[in-house]
Amino acid sequence: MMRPISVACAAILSLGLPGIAQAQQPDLYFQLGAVWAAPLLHDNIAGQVITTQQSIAPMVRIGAGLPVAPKLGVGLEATFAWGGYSADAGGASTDLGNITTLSFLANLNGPIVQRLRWRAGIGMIGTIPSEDAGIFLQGGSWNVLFGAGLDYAVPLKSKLDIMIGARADTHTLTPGQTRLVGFGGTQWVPQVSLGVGLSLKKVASP
Amino acid sequence: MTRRALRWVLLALVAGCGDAAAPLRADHYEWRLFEPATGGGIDTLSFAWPTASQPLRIWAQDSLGLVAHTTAAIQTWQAQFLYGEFRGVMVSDSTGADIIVVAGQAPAGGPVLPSMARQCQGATDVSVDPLTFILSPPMHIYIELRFAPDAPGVDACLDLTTAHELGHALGIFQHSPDPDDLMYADPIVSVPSARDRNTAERAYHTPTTIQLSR
Repeated sequence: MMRPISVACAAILSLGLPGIAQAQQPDLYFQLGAVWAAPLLHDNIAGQVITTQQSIAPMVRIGAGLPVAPKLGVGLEATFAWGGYSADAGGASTDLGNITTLSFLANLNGPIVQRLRWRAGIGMIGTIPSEDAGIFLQGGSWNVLFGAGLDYAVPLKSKLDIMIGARADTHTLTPGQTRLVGFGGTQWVPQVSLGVGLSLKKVASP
Repeated sequence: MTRRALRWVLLALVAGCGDAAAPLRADHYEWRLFEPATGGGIDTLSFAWPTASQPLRIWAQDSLGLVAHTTAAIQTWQAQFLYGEFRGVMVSDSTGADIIVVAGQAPAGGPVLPSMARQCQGATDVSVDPLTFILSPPMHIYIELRFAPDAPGVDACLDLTTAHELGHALGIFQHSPDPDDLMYADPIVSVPSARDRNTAERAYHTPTTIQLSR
């Protein structure tokens, strides 16, 4: 578990250091929202299709950004989400407990138009089940995350904006137990999230 | 640099939508009961505990270490399933239990699935009404020693025999023809093989013909 975190930290530092040299105070933001994830796994046993699916989960996202050029910034955001997951087969659903995800995304960002910014980056996501059972019999895992998104700012005060953020990301998730029972290839799990929150800027809005 | 980074991220997002390939699970053995049907022919009877019954309530007699052996057997079988098809909890009161594990010999004449390891043996009653195909819980598992309790290998034998009999109680109503499987008639191995796992998964994802009475 330490190795992916170390890689993420290295990536974050490599992106963040030039910015830190130029400006010491980052923009800060947080968002509350929800995240939807595509199925974690598709299976077929004796002709019956089984889909393991996360529920739409509440999400908290915090982030910081530094400008490094007139139209480019670097940032780091962390997203925490917590929700249930289930196995759906033949019209019946079996509750499998909860999954907590914690992700870190080191990103580049910049303006598209005055209040709209793009954001894209790479990071790590940890998928941690509430119980080591089923497809997570051998526990959760940390995987590489690719993400992109948009942030829209609505000025509230001189240095405070209401921030609406949308993200799309994807990561691999192939728990050890699935490999053990014979799953092949790699499972990609795309996610979409939407959040609303506040952004505190070091420079006042024009 | 920005455009290049964006291009890579977008490429990753577009490419990152693939699914892992599910295993075929072709290697399994017959688990269903075959009963003579009225008017000739054969009825194929299959059973799996329904989702609504989970977790199954399992009671074990405090004898021969059956509580510990049954707890281990529950964990062993739970680990074979990916989607919560079987979950078991030990209960302290046999009233209302779905499965009862006792020390002793199975009553004579009943429809039982026996097993005979070296130091101990077991049996599971499969009391299905032949007319209605209704199974009335609790199922009973009987475990007994063939030698003195302190004989070498007795503990391991009780472990694998309890797990074997629990496999029957979960719906594997036949024996595997392969001695490498836990569900072999005279079991030698202590944990389910891939074949045992495939068979159990198939049993829980195949339409059942035996219904449960409540």
